[in-house]
Amino acid sequence: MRGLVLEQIHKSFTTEEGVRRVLQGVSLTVGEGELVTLLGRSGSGKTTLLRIAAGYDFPDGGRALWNGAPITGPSPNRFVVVQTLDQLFPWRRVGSNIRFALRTVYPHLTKAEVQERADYWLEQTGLSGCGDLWPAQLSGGMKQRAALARAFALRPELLLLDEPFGALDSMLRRTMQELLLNLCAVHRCSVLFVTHDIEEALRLSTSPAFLTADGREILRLDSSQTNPEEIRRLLSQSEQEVAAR
Amino acid sequence: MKKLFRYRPAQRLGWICLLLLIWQGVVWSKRISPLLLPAPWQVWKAFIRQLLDGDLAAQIGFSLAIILRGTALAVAISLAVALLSLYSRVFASLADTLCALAHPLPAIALLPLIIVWFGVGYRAVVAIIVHSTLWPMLLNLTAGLKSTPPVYVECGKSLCSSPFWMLCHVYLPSSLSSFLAGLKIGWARAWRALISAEMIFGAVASSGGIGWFLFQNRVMMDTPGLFAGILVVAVIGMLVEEFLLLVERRTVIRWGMSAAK
Repeated sequence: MRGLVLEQIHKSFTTEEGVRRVLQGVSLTVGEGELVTLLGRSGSGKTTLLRIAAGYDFPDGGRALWNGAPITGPSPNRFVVVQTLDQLFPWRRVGSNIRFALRTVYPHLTKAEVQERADYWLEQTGLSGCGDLWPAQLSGGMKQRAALARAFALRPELLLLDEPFGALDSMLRRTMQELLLNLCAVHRCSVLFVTHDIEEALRLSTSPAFLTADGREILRLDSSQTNPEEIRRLLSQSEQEVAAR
Repeated sequence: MKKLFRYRPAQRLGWICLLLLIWQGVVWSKRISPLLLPAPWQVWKAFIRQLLDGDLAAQIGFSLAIILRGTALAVAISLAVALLSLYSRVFASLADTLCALAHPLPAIALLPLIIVWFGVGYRAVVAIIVHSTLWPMLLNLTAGLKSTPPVYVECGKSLCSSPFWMLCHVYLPSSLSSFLAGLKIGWARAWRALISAEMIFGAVASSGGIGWFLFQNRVMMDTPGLFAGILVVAVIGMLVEEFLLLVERRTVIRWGMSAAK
């Protein structure tokens, strides 16, 4: 099957206090061209799941497949944008960050093509004219847009977004969500979007997935539910049910 | 005028002029023998005289060449060791122990051993400079490489799987600020160690370096020449530090990777 398949994923971490079981047999699929938002409380293992999809971490049990093949490590084809505002390389200018990523991933591209693609994505993210700035000179929102521009410019089949707008204020977050939806609509790619913000999850997709706090199960929310309060109630209810089992 | 004084070189120049004036004032008061404290213009004359002789310039050149050699060697060794430590834990703990032992050791304390091993020539001075520079460089570089932010490492790994690529495009640029910090400490130590070593060894090969030059002036009781030499040592030290600061401003400070000065 094309797309991302995570099957019965188990993952635990050894800390000073002992072994912490984060994921206990959760499954999730992201089909071709699908945008899946993954909700969950902090500490429920959303990020761990995304990191397994990225190839940064490996599951202790279960299978992580990408287009039918096991995930053995990171790849530009499954590119990650995280919450941290400083994810561009600070020693390269904004445009150079994108061009450098392109040259690394697509060595056969000519200089003109690289330039053209980088400029195109800067423009798409509203950063035309910012290419010659240093990342340190950008505001938080601009930094995240530049990170998105770099990710989109690489044309990954799967975008892994880990609360990419979490560090931005709520006004800006809305603008960024719209930008992301527009970009995804035009340039089809699969997206796994991790967030703890129910409103955000609902704005981006009709049926968010919810990872329970014990890391045992992923619930798919009914697409008829659009009221965040109602969803919040449903979530804690189903969570209690899961915990009671 | 106000604007001018906010400019740091202008501030420095202002203070230096003031200090020179005080110095001249003390000389005019005739309370101190000119043999012990010559007038600034005499020092200046001695400086010009020795510069025209070609002697001073040759000594400066000799000292700078030797320090450049030593520092280059130390940079190469510390880079190699720091990189090995990045990939091997066993090596990292060995390098850590060596650093802890050797870093607090002043070069002068090693002098007797260095004389036994390398004689009193050029190689001994280079050995002293390498010792002075290597450990602070290694400490800083290792710390810098180790503290490369995971977000850059992971992003880099998503772009390219080659370890060599990661080294050139992620680890090394990310630790440039630590590298420069190490270089600053290393330079400061090497410059001091060099001057002392030259004084102790005396004429090395055909030339003795600026330290030997100072020592000779003392022997000849040429106080203006001695002052000129001391000022040259101070000015060179200051210029190199300013140069390193300039490099920092154009790189890590601009990148927001170091506290701006």
